[in-house]
Amino acid sequence: MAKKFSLPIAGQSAPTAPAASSEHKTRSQGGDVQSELAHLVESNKILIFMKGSPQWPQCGFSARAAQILDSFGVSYAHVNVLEDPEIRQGIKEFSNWPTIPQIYVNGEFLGGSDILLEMYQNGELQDAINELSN
Amino acid sequence: MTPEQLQALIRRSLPDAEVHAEDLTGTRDHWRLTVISEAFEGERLVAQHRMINEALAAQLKDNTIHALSLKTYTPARWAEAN
Repeated sequence: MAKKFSLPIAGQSAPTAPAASSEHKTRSQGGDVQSELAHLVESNKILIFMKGSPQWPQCGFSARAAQILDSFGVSYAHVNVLEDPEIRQGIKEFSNWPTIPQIYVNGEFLGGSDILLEMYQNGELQDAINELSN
Repeated sequence: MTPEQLQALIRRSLPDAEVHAEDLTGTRDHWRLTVISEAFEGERLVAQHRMINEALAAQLKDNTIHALSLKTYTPARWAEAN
């Protein structure tokens, strides 16, 4: 199945500028990073914060996590934290998680690449992704 | 960091922890840790990993540990796996 990466942020040149909603302010509009992160997590069913992009990962852990998501043939959004130091630091605080990548499904923090791999191997990731289409 | 230091830090939070540390790059800052502890019993994976992340929070923050790969087991699961 062909890879698809969903908008608003995936693979675009401005990964930290999601489509503006009426309630959400981007940082350029005076919003803060934490609320921007909350908006990103809420507005993307599957979201990975990673180093690089799924096509050009810049770290082995991020590459592995993106490959796992690719294997399901579903679209997902990504944020390249290397393009934005505020996001890179802010997501660690937002999730209370010290490392990148970080994966969110349906607004819930799943964990990093080790957890994603383990959930892939034991079938829990498939279950979580199946639930999205119900 | 050395494997002994990593184990000592983790045992401050999880006194029964058995820690196997593998230096992934030979630079002592990229680690793969296997941690076995009763404390993981009944906890979700994300909670299990948080326990380790919190035990090593200072070293992760100041980049003494640059990359960390974790695998957690309860003693029962560790016995099954080996």
